[in-house]
Amino acid sequence: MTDKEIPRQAASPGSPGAAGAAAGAGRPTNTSHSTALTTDELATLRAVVGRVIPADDLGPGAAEAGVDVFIDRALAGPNASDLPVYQAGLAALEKAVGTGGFASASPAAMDALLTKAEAGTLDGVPEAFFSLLLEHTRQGMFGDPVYGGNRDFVGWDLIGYPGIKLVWTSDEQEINAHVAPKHISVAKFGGQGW
Amino acid sequence: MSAQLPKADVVIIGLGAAGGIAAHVLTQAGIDVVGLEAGPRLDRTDFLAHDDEISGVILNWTGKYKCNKEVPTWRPNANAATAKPPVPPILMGNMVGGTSVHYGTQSWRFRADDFKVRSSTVERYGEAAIPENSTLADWPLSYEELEPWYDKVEYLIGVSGKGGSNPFASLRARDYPMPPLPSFGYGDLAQKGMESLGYHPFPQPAAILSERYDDRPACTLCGYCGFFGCWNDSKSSTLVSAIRRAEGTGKLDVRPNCRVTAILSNDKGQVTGVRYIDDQGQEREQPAGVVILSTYVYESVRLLLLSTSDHFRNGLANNSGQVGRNYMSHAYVSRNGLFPGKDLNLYSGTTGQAVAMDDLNGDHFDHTGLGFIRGAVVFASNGNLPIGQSRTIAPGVPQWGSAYKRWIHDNGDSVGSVFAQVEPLPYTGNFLDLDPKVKDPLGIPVVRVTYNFGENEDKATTYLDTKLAELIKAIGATETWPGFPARTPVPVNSHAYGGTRMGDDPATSVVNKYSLAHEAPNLMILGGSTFPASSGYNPTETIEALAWLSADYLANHLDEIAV
Ligand SMILES: Cc1cc2nc3c(=O)[nH]c(=O)nc-3n(C[C@H](O)[C@H](O)[C@H](O)COP(=O)(O)OP(=O)(O)OC[C@H]3O[C@@H](n4cnc5c(N)ncnc54)[C@H](O)[C@@H]3O)c2cc1C
Repeated sequence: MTDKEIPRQAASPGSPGAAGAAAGAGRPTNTSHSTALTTDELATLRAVVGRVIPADDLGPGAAEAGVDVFIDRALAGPNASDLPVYQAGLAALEKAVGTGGFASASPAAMDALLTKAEAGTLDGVPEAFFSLLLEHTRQGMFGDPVYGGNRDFVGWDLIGYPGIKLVWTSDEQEINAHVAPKHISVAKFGGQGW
Repeated sequence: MSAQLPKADVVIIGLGAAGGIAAHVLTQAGIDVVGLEAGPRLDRTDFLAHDDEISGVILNWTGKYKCNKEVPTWRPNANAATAKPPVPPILMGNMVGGTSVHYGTQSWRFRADDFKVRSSTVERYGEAAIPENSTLADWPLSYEELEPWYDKVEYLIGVSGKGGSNPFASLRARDYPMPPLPSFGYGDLAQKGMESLGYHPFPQPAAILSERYDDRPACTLCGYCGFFGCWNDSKSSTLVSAIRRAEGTGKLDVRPNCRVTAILSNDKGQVTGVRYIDDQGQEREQPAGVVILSTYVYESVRLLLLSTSDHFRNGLANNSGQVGRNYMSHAYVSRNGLFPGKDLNLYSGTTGQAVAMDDLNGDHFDHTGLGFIRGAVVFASNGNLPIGQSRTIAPGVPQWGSAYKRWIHDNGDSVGSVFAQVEPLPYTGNFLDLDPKVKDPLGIPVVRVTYNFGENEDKATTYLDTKLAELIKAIGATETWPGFPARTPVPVNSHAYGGTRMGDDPATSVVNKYSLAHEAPNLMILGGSTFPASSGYNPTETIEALAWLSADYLANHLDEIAV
C-alpha cells in the first residue's frame, strides 16, 4: 500500500466519508426499533447479562453496554424464533428467585441460579436457553454498537479490538505493536444495524 | 404463460466466480451473453456499510437474497432422518460477482498429483489403500493442460504470491503478477515454528492485491475480508475484474435480481433456454443457443433435478442417475494456542495473508501404516474479529462472570491458531437429492445432503489434529486446545464438490473435460460440482481456470455446440 492509493479511492463516491452519506440517502434512519420482550422481561434480562459479563474493576459489563437492548432487537428481528426460549428462561429465573424479583437479588444469589440454569438443573429453563444467552451476550458485547450493544465501545476496549480501522500498516501487525483504540462503528460508513 | 424474450447466443445462470470468468472469455470472443443473477448488483459503498461482524459473519447479509432461505438439509446416511448438522452450514452470497465478492482470497493451484489422485495412490500404496466404497477418480485432464488457464486467471483477476516459494508446487510458466501480501508478526512466528519442525513454509498465494494492479489499489489489511465485500476494490472478485471487463465490451447483458427456476430442453435432449423470475416478479423465458449453469454446487444440482421433461424424467442430463453423486465437502481441523502477554495484532489482514505449508498435503508424506490417504494444506493466518475471539477461550476458563471477563481482557488478542483443510474422499453413500419435505419460500424443494465421514476422514483429521497441536507449541503457544475438532464433517459447506462430476465415461460422470453435459451437449456446468476430487486446497482458482478453459473451448466451437 502506498499513501497515495487511499486518497484516490477516498476521492471517489465510495469513500468512507461519502459512503455514509450515500448509503444513508433515501433510506430511513433506523431510530425506532421494534421490541420483543416486555418491560419486566427486559429488566430481568438486563440483570442476567449483567452477571454473564459483570461490571467490575475492569470496567463496565454487559448491562452497561446495552446488551439487553441488543438481544431485544435481535429477538424482534432475525432471532424471532428464539423468543419463546427467552420468555420461558427469564420466567423460570423469576419464579426461582421468588418475591423481590431477580434484578433485586444479590449477585451471589443471581450467580447461583444462573449456574443451575447452565447445568440444566433449574426447573422450567429450556435446554437451549443458557447457550443462546451466552452467544447473544457475546454478540451484543463485542459486536458493532450500531446494533444496540457495545455502548461506548466498552466491549471492544475490553477485548482489545481497536474498532473499524480501514488501514493497517505492516508495522501495526507486529507482535506487541501498540494500536490505539479507534472507536469507529460501521454507523460512520452508513451501517444501519438491525 | 411467461413472456418470451429474443434468443441469446449464450445465457449464463449465476454470475459468481465461475460464471464471471465465463462471461469475460465469451464476450472477449465477441459472443453476446445474457447473465441472469439471482442477487443484486452491489458495490463497495454497500460493502463498507456492512463492515461489521454481525451482518457479515452472523447474518451473512449477502445471502439474504436467496441462499439463506434455501439452506440444504442434512442426514448422515440414507437410512437416517434429517437432523441438525454437527456444524452450522457455511453459506454463500448472492450478488453480481457471487461468493467471490465475500470469499477469503486464498488462491491456490492444485498440484499435478491432485489430478491423478486415484492412479498415483494405487501406484504407491496399491488398490487396497482406496476404501472399498470410495468412488475416487482421476480427473479427465492434467495439471499441464490446466496450467495456461491458471496463469490467465492469475493475471486477469490479480493474484499475489511468490512462484517457487512452495517446494511442492507444480511447475508454473511464470511468476505471479505481484509479490505476496506483507509478512506479519504472528506469521513470522508461525514460519519459524514450521521451520523448526522441518516443514517448508511460504507466503500463501492470495487473490487480493499487494500493489496497484489493473487500476485497483492495494489491500489495506482492514480485517474485513472473508464474509465481507471489499470496500477498497482490492479483493480480486470477478465483480471488479472479469465482469467489469465483460460489461466493458458491451456484449454482456447483466440482469440482477433474476432467479432461474428451470432449464428448458427439447425432445432431443438439447437445452433451449431458461425460465426465470425477473426483478419485477414476472416470469420470463430466455431462449438461448447454449446454457451455462454456474449457480454453485447445491443450486446447480437442484436446478438439474427440478428441470424434468419427457426426455429427462429424472432431471436434466440425469438419465444416467449420476446427478448428485460423488458429493464431497472439505474437512477442517484447527488448533488454538495461547501466547500469554503477547499482543498478536491479529485483528487485521485477511485469511489470504497467511503463512502456509504443503508438507502434510496430498501425498507429500509417506502414508504407509497411517490408515488414510491424502492430507491437508496447513496455514496460520490473520483476520480475527472480536465476537469470534470472545468465544475462543482455553479449556477450564469459565464461560461467564468476572473470571471470563478477566481472561478475555488479558488474552483476547493473545490467541493464535493453525488451520488444516483436509481432503475428503468421495463415497457411494454421500450424495445430494431434493428434500421430500422442506421447501423454500417459493415452494421449491431444497437440497438434501446425505453425507458422512469414512474411516479415512476420521483418521486423517485425527492425525492432523496431533500435528497441529505439535506445530502450535513449536510456534510458541504455552497451552493448546482444539478450535475446529477432528472427526467433524461439515455437511453444508462453501467448499463443496461433486454432484455433476467431470469424466470421460457418461455412465459415471455428468460432464466431459470441457464441462459440457454428456447427455445435453449444449449445456455447460461450471463450478466445484464438476470436481472428481477436492485436493486439500481452496477451490476457487481451479474453478476459475476450468471455467476459462471450458468457455474458451465453447467460444471456439460455438457453431457446432449451439442449438
Ligand atoms: C466466507 C467464505 C470464504 C471463502 N474463502 C475462500 C478462499 O479463501 N479461497 C477459495 O478458493 N474459496 C473460498 N471460498 C469459496 C468460494 O467462494 C467459492 O469457491 C466460489 O465462490 C464458487 O464459485 P461459483 O461460481 O461456483 O459460486 P458463486 O461464486 O457462489 O456464484 C454463484 C452465483 O449464482 C447465483 N445464483 C444461485 N442460484 C441462482 C439462480 N437460480 N438463478 C440465478 N442466479 C443464481 C448466486 O447468487 C451467485 O451469485 C469462500 C467461501 C465463503 C463463503
